[in-house]
Amino acid sequence: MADFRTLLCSALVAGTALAGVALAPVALSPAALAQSADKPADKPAAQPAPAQPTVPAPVAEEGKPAAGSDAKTSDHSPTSQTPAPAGEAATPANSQSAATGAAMAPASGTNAAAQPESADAELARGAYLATAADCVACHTKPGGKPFAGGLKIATPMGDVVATNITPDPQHGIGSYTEADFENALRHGVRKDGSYLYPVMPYVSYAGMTDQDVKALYAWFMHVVKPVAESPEETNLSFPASLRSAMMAWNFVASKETPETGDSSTYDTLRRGRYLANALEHCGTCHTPRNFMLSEKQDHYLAGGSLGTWYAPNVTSSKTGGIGDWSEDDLVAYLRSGHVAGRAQAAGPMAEAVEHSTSHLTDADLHALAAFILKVAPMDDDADHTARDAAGKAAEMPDIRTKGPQRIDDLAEMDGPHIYDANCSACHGHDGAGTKDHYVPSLFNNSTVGAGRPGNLIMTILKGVDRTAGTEHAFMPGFDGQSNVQRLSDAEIAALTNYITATFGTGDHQVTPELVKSLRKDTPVVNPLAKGK
Amino acid sequence: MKKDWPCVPVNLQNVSPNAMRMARLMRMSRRDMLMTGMGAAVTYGVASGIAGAEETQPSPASGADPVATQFMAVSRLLTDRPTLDLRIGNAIYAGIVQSSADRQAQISKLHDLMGSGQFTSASAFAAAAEKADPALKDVIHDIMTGWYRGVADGKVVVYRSALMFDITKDAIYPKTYATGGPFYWTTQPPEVDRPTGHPALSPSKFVVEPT
Amino acid sequence: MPSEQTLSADVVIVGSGVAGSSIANELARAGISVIVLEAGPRVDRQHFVENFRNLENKPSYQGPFPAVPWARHPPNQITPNDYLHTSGPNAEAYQQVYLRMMGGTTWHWAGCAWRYLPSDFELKTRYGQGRDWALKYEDLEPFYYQAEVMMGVCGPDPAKEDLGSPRKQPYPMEALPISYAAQQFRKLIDEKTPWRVVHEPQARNTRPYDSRPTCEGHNNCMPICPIGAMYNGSYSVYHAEAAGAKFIPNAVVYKIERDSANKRVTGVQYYDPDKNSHRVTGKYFVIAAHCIETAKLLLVSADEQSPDGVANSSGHVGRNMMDHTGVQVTFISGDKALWPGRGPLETNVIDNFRDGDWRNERGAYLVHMVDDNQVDFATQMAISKGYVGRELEEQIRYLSSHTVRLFSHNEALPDPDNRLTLSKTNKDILGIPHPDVYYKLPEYTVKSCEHTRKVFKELIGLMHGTDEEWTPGYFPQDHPSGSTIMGTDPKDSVVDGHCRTHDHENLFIASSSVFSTVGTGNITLTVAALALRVADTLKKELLHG
Repeated sequence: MADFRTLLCSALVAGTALAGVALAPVALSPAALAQSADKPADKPAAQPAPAQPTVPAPVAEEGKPAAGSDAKTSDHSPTSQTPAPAGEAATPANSQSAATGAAMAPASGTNAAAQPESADAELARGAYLATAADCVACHTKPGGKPFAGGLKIATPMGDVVATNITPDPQHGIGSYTEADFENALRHGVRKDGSYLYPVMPYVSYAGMTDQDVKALYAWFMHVVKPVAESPEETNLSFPASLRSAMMAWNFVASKETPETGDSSTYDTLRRGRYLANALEHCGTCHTPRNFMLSEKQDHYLAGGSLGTWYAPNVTSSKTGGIGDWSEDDLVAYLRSGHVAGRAQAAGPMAEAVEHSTSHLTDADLHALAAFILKVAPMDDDADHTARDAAGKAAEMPDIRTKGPQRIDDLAEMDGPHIYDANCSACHGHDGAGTKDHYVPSLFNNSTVGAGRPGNLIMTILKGVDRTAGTEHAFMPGFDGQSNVQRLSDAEIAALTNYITATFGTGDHQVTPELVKSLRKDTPVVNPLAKGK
Repeated sequence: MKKDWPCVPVNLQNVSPNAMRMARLMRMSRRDMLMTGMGAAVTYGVASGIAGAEETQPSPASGADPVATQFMAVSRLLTDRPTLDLRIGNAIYAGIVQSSADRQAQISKLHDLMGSGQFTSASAFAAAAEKADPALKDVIHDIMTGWYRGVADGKVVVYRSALMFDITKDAIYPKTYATGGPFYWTTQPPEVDRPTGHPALSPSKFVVEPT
Repeated sequence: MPSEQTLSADVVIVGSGVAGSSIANELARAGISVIVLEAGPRVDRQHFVENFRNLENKPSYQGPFPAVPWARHPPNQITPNDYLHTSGPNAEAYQQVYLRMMGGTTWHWAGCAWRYLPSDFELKTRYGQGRDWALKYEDLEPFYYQAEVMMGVCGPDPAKEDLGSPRKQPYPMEALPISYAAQQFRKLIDEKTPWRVVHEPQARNTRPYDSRPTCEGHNNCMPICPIGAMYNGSYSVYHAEAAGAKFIPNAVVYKIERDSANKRVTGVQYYDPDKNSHRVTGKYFVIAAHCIETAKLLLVSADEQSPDGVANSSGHVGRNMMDHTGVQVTFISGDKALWPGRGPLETNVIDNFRDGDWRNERGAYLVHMVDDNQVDFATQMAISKGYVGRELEEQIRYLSSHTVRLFSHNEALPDPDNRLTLSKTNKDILGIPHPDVYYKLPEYTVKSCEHTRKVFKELIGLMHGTDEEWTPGYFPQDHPSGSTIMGTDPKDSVVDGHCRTHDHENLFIASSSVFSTVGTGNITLTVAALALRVADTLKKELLHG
């Protein structure tokens, strides 16, 4: 189970290491956690690191980490600009200067033509770019080999199957020339001339510089391990089933304009915009799409539906977006996937954090955050107060009115009791989470306080499984596959309404039918007696 | 040990006008209501809506069960606590009264005794009560068991909200409600000095319930 | 309801606990058709969590699991009992509890996942006591590891802390960091005694594992882990169902049919809760119904062909009942506040008495310091002493933080006179007799317990303990075993080294009932390893035939 993620992370750690970034091992270590507690335990701390069976990663071996680092890689080296500790208030001014000071030190001319770099430096750059562009997220299926494709991506027109982009000549992109590669990456046209579906964010990648495209190509060709397997073909409904129709789409869809020069020498905001648009392709999810499924650029990052999960409004609106966040908050979120009292990443954002943003350099995180926080504010249709502003700790005695029931009593419970039985053990009877924030609070929580209850339902159904740095955040899901507890649609609806009423902005009147539409898995296997 | 344990916090701002009316109605309800209806009525959702929680001013409204009000006063003295949660108190009271036909009169008797002297501590009061009537020891045990263990009439009235967990919350969590995060238990809990106080009542046989 | 048409599968398993469900999972994943018949109902966690919180007698780990009438289990450990009727000089020492429901008794266990020592399998050869098993530690080693991976067991690095059972692989998860109370206990043992405290291997997550979260120390492994951080059989049920195994709840098997030669089992019959009878046929049959219910089922199935019960030509079905009957003491430490009950229940063990030359005359044992929340106990105690108000609160804090409990697992020996029989007077609503057990603690175990008491007294002294309360008599540990004992000789044993019955070539037993001796470690991991070995045997015979 963990193998896939650990493998990917190891691969990415290796990739990032090429860029000169030192990252701690990925596995959660109880001993390490114990040490981070107030008083380290003498005995358990003495426990050696576990023999993790999942550590070695094939790609890491190939990556030849950071042997010959040169001037360029040091551009990306983390300096002392780790984010301010939670208690330390960061003024916009000093966080700004920290960000500026970090990345771009030796930048001579911001728009100067890119200097040719050594092969090692180019591969290092390519590895970092692949991470920042989060190619692996789509081009690897769960349990599959890195970049061998096969992941099914749901779209309104059907599932698009990600392709094999390893350098295997038959099954992958091994026969692609650099020009072919560039044509696919920036223009959405395959080597055979057919058009890619816009699930592939080439409209974003179009913004990459020539130098970065070249580096990415070099890394894919030389470092990624070829995999000789082809995923199944995408089979969409008409008219999208006609790849030629994509040509028309391609024609009207707005694209990024290629950046120029050496992207590592940009100033903070330019670097941030480059990261957000050309690499991380934030807008792919967070910008709503028009009827042509093209991103609405006048609603940049104003929130978009992914079918089940919803990528919220992350504009600088203080009511609809994240205008109440500091740059350090956003940096912490992108690095770790959580900020106590604000938000936790689950679903696709957890994957983006795990595979991509948690591996960015401090300087890049600050650049990205600084740029995002300057995005024009957009009001939100559903969120009228900051999503993380809602709620407070619940205080009510647990007055009990019945004794133990027979073991075959599987009657559906009401919202408060479902919460008590399934959630309170970790999130607390008061919703405050654990003292160490390993389990987040439910008040001051963007998912709970959102006007749209969908992400809360999805979190209850699917749980959270997010590894960033040394932290492995995990919440079990409660859907029909759960090992911990399988809840019915009616129970999840009741629970969602109880949680939003108690810790959020009110009872959203979620119905079992809505839960059912989001569930999209096999029906509840257990218990059979539900709802009788 | 801290001199005054914090009471269960109550958020009066939370109380809607309707909830205030509800609370008054609850106080006015007859004893039968308390005994039979309380259990069902004071579940989470309803309890959260019920106003007051803190009964600072016992209101001897006509028609209310006066002994329920007396129970709260006696409980405050026997716990050395200036404030106790009325919602919990009502549920404990209903259970204790249910458990034995004598209990209501005994609580009244305790209340009368309380009014007859200036008792400055639970211990002084409990000792005086047992001296006045040895049968009062049992009802004091019931009251202690109700508030501290959350058990009345052999049934759970509250679990995590029992006072035994309030007074140990700096060190330990009620089972199934541990929110310290993984491996919190490796840290050193607070030291506890050897107690200096004395028992107020004569000892009883301690019977460990068989598992 | 009329009887449905006969169901059939390659393998029919009776019992859905850790043994039955893990076999079902292995076989279903290999493409073999499986039907599992579970006497009890489907259940789920959330109701048990609420049942626990609504339970007045919190230490009663049977309390949150009120049985269904068609598949009763013991309501408590009290003698006389409503279901498991014990008698004999040590009747109270065999008052075992277990659960009859989907997933089985591991819904409430403490997750202790010991491998047996190599010597535990050859007690007769090495020490002249008891019996040898019909297999060796090395035969079981790969299946021990398979069971550890299946359950998710955390444990110490063997290079740092060798638990005496040689391992080819490290534990699947890193050992659990121990509580402050356990750290102090460990320090005391290290400094003041010749003994040692080791990390107890546990089927408990020290990181997210099998889609279940990391342990958060709710201190409620027994009776119910509220978050699923500890293994129980229901996960194997879920995995087996996902792999295609069919589980039928509320199916109380009461009859094992054989062919005319009495060599092969041809089917089983079960009652549903309305006592309609159903029949299930198959190629192989596995009885995995817990030590007590397995023996009961074999005895209940007696007929003209097998007047003493199925698989019982030796007469040993129901005999040789064993447990880890132990000693328990509670006292008030005079040292620093320990606040037991922070973290999981059982994490630390003194293992010096698990093996030694003295095993030729007295039984081995292991010592647990129980890390159990004492607040409720302290409150009851302080109230009974007559405290009220502020003085009561002082006492509760002091007793909660200074109460220490020790208990031991002491080794029993197989004695044919310690015997399970069918009750002649008590029957359940389906007409199936309740189990009766006669129990007399073997002298070997009595001597072991005497030694334990001396050690406990020494520990109490070292902790400046007062107010010792010794649990009267001997303390059942719910590790019943031996009722279908394993051996090489069909005349004095029920199953062979592969857990196949000597009498019926396609009938296997997966339960602690096959144990030839009981060692000292908790039995569950060995039950799981034996079950996985049965699955391996079945796969070989069914797939390569």
